[in-house]
Amino acid sequence: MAAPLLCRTVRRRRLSPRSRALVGLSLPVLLLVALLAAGKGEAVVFGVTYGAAYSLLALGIVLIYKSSGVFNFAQGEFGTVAVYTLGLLQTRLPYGFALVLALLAGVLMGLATERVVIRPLFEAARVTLLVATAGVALLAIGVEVWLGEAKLRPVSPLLENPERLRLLGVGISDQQLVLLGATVLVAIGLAWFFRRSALGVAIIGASQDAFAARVVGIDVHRLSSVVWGLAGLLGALAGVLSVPVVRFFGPGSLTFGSLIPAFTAAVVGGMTSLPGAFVGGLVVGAVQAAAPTIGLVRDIPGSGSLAVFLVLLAVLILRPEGIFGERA
Amino acid sequence: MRALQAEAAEVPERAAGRPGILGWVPRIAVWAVLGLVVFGLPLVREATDVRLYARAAIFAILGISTNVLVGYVGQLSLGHQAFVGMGAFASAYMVSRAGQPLPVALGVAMVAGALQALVLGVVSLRIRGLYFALVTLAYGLVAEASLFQIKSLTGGGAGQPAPLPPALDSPWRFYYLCLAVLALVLWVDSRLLATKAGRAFLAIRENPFVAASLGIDVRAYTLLAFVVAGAEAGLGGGLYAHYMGQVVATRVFDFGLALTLVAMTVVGGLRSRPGVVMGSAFFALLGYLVEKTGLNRVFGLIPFAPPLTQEIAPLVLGPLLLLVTLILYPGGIGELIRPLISWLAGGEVREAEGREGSGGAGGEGVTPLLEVRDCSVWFDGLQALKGVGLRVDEWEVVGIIGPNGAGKTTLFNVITGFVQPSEGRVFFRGRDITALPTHQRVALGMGRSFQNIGLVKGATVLQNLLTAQHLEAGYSAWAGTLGAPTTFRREEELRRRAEEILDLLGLGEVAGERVAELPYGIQKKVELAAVLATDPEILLLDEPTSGMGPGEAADLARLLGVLRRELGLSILLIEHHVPVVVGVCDYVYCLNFGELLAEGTPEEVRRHPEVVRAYLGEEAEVGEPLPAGPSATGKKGSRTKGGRRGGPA
Amino acid sequence: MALLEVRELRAGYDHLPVLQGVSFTVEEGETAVIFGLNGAGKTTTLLTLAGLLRPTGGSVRFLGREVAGKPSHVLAAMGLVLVPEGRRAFPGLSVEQNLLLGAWPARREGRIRETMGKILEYFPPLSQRLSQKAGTLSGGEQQMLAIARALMARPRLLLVDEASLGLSPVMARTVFEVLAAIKGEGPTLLLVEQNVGVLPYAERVIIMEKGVVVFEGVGEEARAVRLRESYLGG
Repeated sequence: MAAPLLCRTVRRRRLSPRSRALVGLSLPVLLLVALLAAGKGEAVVFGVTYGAAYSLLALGIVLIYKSSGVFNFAQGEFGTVAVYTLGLLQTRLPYGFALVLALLAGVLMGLATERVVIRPLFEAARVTLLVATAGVALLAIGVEVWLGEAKLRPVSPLLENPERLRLLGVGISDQQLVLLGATVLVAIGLAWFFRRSALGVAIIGASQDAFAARVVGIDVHRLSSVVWGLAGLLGALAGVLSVPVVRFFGPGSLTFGSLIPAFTAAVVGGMTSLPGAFVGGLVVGAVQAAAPTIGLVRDIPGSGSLAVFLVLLAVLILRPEGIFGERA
Repeated sequence: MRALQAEAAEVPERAAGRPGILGWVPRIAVWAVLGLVVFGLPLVREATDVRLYARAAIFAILGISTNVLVGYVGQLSLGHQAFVGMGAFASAYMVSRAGQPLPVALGVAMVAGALQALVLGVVSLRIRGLYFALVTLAYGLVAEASLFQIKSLTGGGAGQPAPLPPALDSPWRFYYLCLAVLALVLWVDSRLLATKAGRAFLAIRENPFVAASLGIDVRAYTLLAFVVAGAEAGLGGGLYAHYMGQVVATRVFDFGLALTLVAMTVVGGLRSRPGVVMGSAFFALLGYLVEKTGLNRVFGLIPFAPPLTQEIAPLVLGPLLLLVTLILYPGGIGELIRPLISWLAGGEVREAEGREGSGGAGGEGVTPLLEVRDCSVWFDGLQALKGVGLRVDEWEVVGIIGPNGAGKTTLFNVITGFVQPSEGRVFFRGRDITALPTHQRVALGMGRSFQNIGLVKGATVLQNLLTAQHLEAGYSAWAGTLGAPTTFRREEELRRRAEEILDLLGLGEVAGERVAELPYGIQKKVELAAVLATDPEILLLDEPTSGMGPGEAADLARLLGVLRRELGLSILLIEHHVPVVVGVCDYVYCLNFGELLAEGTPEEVRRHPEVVRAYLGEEAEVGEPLPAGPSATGKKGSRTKGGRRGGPA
Repeated sequence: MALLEVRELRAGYDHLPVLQGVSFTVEEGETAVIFGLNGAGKTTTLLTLAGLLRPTGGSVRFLGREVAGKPSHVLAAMGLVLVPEGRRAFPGLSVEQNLLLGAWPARREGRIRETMGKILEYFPPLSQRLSQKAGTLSGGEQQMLAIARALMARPRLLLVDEASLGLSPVMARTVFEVLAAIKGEGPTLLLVEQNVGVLPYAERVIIMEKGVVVFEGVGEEARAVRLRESYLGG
């Protein structure tokens, strides 16, 4: 941060929170409409349904960031570990039972990460914690390679119907609808949790001032466990619902495929806004799916991830507080 | 803070003197053994092993490169593998497609890596910290998915061949080539850190505000670090290409490599050169070592677990080592081996000291040295300053007093350039400096000491003074890094001058101590010394006696008198402690609620009824002056309204 | 039996011992004030009593139970609550949310809204700003919020650290008056102050210097003498 950047006393004109939210919402909607108008309907539908997975992952990332200021690079692995549990158990146990155990695996990994890595580093710099959670993710991937070999394995979805409805020429499966529905429910549930429940308010309070939280008699360590357990659950949910859509998984499935889009989604929401992360995930999914179909960039290899990268960069440079700008 | 902000490793150990000839014998023996392992051992090993050793040397180069960004500048880069990959493909392309000789190919690799790093460096000026790490990670993935898929550069899925010239086409020769390049990189790294660039990095990492106030151009030095790191990564990548013989894009330069680079630097110990080299080599040889030591058989005892092969072992043990290091040994290997390293070096001897008075700042004329006219500042709709003006003439000591939240620190920030006034102007020697950034004001002769100690706490007292002389170094950062001979002489002069200032303030004895370990009162004095090292014409002091007892405060007041007399300085100080102000100031301004309440000689202001009321409240009898003894009003820290610190917004 | 009995309490930060054996008692229903200069160990004493800093030695008996070393959430649930220096309201939460969080130790007892209504009677400015974010309040209002938040836990003993710091004299007096009014309602008060404006409200005076208690008493005269020595003699 060079000196001239520090001299920013001229402030942007302030909008009321409601009009900000409206502006925030209209931007992604406009983008989607533009893509539709350009005849990219197929890509948009496909992208949005897959983007729900990014949204769900992003909600977990926002949950952790809101409560502790940590960029959790292990969020994807909470999901991959759950998918491994599901994939390996579903052949031996009833699907529902395997699903519950898979979610439990995600929760346990969240709790273990908090207890073993986060808590000893409670006072550490946030960058150190980022490295640590990335270490957790890499360790999980390493163990997956070691115990499960570096190969793709099949996993079947909760509901088998491959085409429940058809939208703009794209078939949408039951599993995709379940994923989308679950994501909406989680987003609404989390928003309620943070706004209305005593526990949610306590989590927000502790994130603003951990010392003050201890002063009012909140056991911040227990709070931290609850948050990470919940993040584990959300990660697991993202894994077991989204990976069966493509029917295959391997080491680091969610980390390599979805972590960066999910972070981009969270950044669109300023890392703190739950509706922002939800909408962000859908938009990122659509942009990623549409990029390879657009004339100019069609021939660039990896145009999908390039487009996601550009979205990330653009949001961070133009509106670092996110499109929904819910700055405390 | 832990690993990523652990202390600077380059603390000179201050031994009583050099060890005698006998003392050197065991040291030389250890050096010989080390040398024998590095240079001799490969001669008796098989070709496959020696290839791995070459890989270790290459990783050490990459580790040093990563350390420049993560360690020196404190920017976590998770896209470092892109620089490495770029270097690898560039070098392979130059050799196999363009038919260039190896040195040219490696040079191109360096340039390619540096250019790419420069781009991310520019990004890092806008996006910092966690978000920067995220951007680099995304960038790395894009490089893997887009850049490395460009067929003409990378040869597509088949990969780009990277043959070695026949003269080097043996594992042993290639190993020694890698060692030579590593030695070169280490030398550049040591010059980088030992000269003004290294001190600038340290200051920027700890606190960019302090760095700017010392006259360091934060942008330029951040970019310098990126270019150096990128060039080194490109060079390492080029060697890596020829190590592999065939560069394939997929699964080599991926997120895994990015994190491995960070992990080996952290495990090695950020900012510890020997530690990073050891950590990197250790990671490169991890699978090999696990197999050689039979550790894989221990893992084989775990039921149902497949064997931990040489390929898989680093994937599991690498992250594990990273986590263990972060949680239990934040200093890494470097911290563990530090006593050994300093013992091997035989300690350091202090140079003879000279004593000369620093040249005082002359100057005459009727224009005031410093003048503030009608300055107003708003923060979030709150008016922190309301049309305040003040002036400081040559040789004058001027004080600003006022209760907490009066706007003193804001006024100060306006003078130093950390806050732009919404209205009003600031003049220095009659020149309008309202729009100048902080580091340019320092260059004009304005020094500043921060309320919360503007020191690089992880560095020694002497290093802090050298950092403070950043602008006087008189050589370019490149010359320092590449080891131009004049820089060695100049460094010596800077050191001598720093020692003079320390002696003037009676700090000679603590020159080698780390600032963080000194008592608060001494830290305050060191801060003053650092400000003096910037050769200011005016000294701006923000609460110099905060946290001091009455005795220490009186000492400091006396010292300020000496400085003014000996160095011909003008001084502007903010002070809460009324007796100090009364003792040393020629003229005093009193602020309250952002407005000028009173001004005049200390005695006048002390008896001013408004001032007395502002300080003691309405209970005080009007007419009773403020005490000349220790003040009884509450004063702790600078927490003002809403808990906001008085610092820059 | 005294409500709070502190014996030979020792505590500090890392390698810096601050409290060198602090002893005093506070009786149920009184207002006790700890005076002392910066660095005397007043804040450290309160932090240790509130369970926010681990003591390195000594004993603290609260309600007849040994509580030294117990964490803050246990102590808060027992009724020992701190109003910290610098107020420490949750800046991004509304005044109402701040108050509700204050009731965290008593969250299973119910009647929280009722308590809040009663407490707000003492703080008229707050009741008009329930939905405002705490970070936007003035210094005096934040101090009131911090006190009100602590009261939400229905404490037996309220520790207040430098309630007047950074406040204008008028505001400081208002805060003292509120504290005096609250006392009639319930909690015993242990205040830390440098502002002598609190003296008229103090029933017990404890003076600290360099990590030990140098005076403890209730006599009017002794109090005045010691104060002068402590502030002006050093």
